[in-house]
Amino acid sequence: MPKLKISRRQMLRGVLGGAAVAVALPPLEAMFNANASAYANGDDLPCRFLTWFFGNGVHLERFEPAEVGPTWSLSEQLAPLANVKDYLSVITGMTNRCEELITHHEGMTAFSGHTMSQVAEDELFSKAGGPTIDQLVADVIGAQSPVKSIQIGISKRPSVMDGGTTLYALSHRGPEQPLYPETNPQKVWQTLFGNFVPRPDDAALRQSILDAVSEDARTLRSQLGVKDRLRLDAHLDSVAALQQKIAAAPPACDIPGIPTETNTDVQGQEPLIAVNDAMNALLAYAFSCDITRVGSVMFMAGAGETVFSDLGQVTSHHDNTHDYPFALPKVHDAVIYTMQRFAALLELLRNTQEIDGTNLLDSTIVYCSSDCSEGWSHSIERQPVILAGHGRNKLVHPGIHYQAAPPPGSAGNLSDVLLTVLKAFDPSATAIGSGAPRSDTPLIGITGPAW
Amino acid sequence: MAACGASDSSGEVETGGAEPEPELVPAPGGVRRLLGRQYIATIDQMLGPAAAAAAEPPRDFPLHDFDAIGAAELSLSDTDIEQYELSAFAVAKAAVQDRAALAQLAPCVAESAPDDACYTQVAQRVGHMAFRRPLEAAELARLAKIGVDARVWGDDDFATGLEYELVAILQSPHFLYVAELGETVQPEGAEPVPYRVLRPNERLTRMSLFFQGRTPSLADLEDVERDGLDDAQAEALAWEMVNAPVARTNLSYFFDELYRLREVAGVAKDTSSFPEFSVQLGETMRAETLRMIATVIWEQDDDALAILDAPFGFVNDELAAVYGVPAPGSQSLVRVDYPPEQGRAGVLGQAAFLSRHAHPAKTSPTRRGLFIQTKVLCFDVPPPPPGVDTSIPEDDGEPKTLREKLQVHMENPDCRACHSLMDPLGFGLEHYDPIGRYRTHEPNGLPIDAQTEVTGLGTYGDAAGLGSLLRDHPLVSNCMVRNIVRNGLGHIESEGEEATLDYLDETWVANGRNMRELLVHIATSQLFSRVGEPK
Repeated sequence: MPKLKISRRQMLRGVLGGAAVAVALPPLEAMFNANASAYANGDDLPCRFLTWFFGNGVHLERFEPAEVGPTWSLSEQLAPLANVKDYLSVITGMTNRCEELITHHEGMTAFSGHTMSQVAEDELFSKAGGPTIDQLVADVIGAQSPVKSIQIGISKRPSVMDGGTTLYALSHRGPEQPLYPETNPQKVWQTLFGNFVPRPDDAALRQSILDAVSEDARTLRSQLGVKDRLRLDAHLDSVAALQQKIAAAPPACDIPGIPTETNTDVQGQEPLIAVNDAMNALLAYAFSCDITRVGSVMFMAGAGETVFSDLGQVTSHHDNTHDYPFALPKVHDAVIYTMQRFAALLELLRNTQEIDGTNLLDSTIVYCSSDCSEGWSHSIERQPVILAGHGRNKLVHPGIHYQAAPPPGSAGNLSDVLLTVLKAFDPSATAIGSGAPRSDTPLIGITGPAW
Repeated sequence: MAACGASDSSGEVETGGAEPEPELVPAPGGVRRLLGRQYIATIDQMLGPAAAAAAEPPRDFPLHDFDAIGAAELSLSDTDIEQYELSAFAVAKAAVQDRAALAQLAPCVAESAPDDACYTQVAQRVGHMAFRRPLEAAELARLAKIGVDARVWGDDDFATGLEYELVAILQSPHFLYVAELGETVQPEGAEPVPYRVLRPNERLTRMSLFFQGRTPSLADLEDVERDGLDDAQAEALAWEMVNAPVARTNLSYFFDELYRLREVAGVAKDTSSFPEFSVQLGETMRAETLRMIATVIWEQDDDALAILDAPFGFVNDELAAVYGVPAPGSQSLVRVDYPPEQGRAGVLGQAAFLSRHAHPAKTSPTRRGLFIQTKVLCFDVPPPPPGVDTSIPEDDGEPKTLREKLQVHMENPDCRACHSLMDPLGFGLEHYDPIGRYRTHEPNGLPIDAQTEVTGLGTYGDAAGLGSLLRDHPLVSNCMVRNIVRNGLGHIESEGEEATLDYLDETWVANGRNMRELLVHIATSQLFSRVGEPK
């Protein structure tokens, strides 16, 4: 990655003195207040948020750490995360209180606190029940960076048996607003950096065109019914976001070169490691340059048909979880492999320094879970969550193993973790979700001194 | 007030339906987004092939297996809006560079030194075609101003102004979303009716998307705006459209989605057992099924449901090896009759369907049976109860065939109700392995027993037997009609549409199940002239 280069001209356009223009500049010493705890103009130092997802669950007896509390040690399936262990909190034994059970779909309630909606009687179909946590956080902090949030996918093999939107996107703004993951690193690059590639300065023309587009959307909207008005509202929001992006000054960082990786299969095999690495690099760079502060990574889709060919496997992960117990070793190997990919992201964030002496994992919170606790039973009891990073001491650091109840049962409400994370970005939040999975009780035990 | 020229008489159909068309209570109207391929095809006609080649709309995501339903229900995202802007610039650049098609619409662009009035002409002509209606004065002025402003910014270059004006048109929601709002009808002195009548341009657009996969030409739009579009005119137009070559291409997209053919190349297969399976082979399998369907429907032009038991296919050398037929010595597809001893016939006997609905190393009678129930018979099968262990028992020392192992579905009362609807159907296809190859024995050496009896369908032991039973089953033609309408209109059928769908099916069957006739009948029914309140 090229080093951050800051030109004199760009320094002069900085946030000193509270300039109105949104600028993506890495912080310089002079910009901090006396304690280096905030920008000179009072803005908080950026915190970032990521969700991370893999389908088909884990094997609880090899995943859950044995010891509870601060003196916990890594289990077999968490061992790949050894290099970032201090940054991890693991939450086990909690109940996902989703009100509908159709297999896999209900696991996604762990990312929103809502039961899925439009569950069909006659097919494995549902839509998201409400906005996911990353979009709630993006609504709070997204306006502070040119890109409100980014949706990334690694494996391109979704479920072959399910319908709707719940399992196919990790980010949702609502039942009719899935934000599908982008699995091509070049397109992710385009979303993050493409707008800053120098071009003839036609910003004013683009803006007036988008103004006209918005006017057309409002005219059309006025003729429509309730459902379609929501779609035109989403269209208007997206146009406004693009207009803000066009108005944003280019970042002080060098624009990274477009990645060569396109996530194209070789003899039917997905280049999972290369794509994961490329996406991680884009995320770390985007965080450093403050291009975005929120993202979601769908490593594999819900009930996904990913084949772990790097492990010599030829059957899909979902199939393996239903070849119980004979394919258990393959499932275990795949969980280890998945945790290795997760570790690669966390290690890169940890290894990316910022000028205030923190690293990106210090200033980020990552929320990781699956679509069930174990794939063969589809159970959502004891559905585990891994939290990584502490978001500038909003979460306890070093992390702990929080166990709501010892095996085999489960207790509590998994959405408590979601609320805790939401409040790390929006202290005024009092509840998250709806219905049985709704929570208004954050999990104090995992919070840090700054929460 | 009915739109000028529109009529909504339900009358007897000339093609020989004995009953009059039932009164349709239509599904809600509203807006449907153009699919990517429709966006491209429309640009091709509007701005030419170079512009179409440059187009890069955002991806479509299906609901209920059809992209059109996703496009009718789901919202766009930030990245989609950005992608439309990128695409608009690429298209506009290409359209300005090669102006032949654009000049057909707006001749002034081909002049040596067009002035600002040309921007107004472009707004009028291109805008009219893109928005599918004449533009208001304010809209024309706004677009022309964008052209002028861009010209000035671009050092007085007319082409630059043209480019930005096209960019504006291509991003407008009036282009991207197809409005199907209709007008309210108030019969004199009578009860208000539970539907609106589509305006002529809306009805024309619906027909154009249905047959041609794009929005209408400017000439056709102007015709219906001037003369209206009554039932007789619609019927004449429908026949013209169904007989045009592009109708064949467009219908193939429907079958591509219905039979999940787009997914064949990406399905995971155990490459140690099936080293020949590859992305390329999967695409060939897809192409074979589409070619067979096109041959039956357009060349044979007789009973469309012969796609279920046609005894022939199309192979290149690679696919020939899967079917165990002599290699034709060709990379492109050559027609072949399947060997009779394989009992192979129809879509369900072809490698594409058989591969897509199987596991990487094992067949799946359940998946194949589920597809037949839900997509060929349109019969709903509930999902498995949560918490149930869905693993297939492995060998316990005593070798068993897959069929024998699946008996546990029938013995377990939790499983039986639904699995009895799926597994017996799939057992009849057990002679076709996970990539569709014919086999008499399983890999463990046990002989396969594929004789099966399905309540309400009959007895068979191969794809040909299954296909011929399905072909004449009343639920199958009905289901085909439903699927065509779901894809054509972008929604799952509602209560008020049931009678009309049944009527279309009955007429279709009574008249020999010709596809052209069905498509015309659908497009001239009240499904295409009425719409409910906007959703």
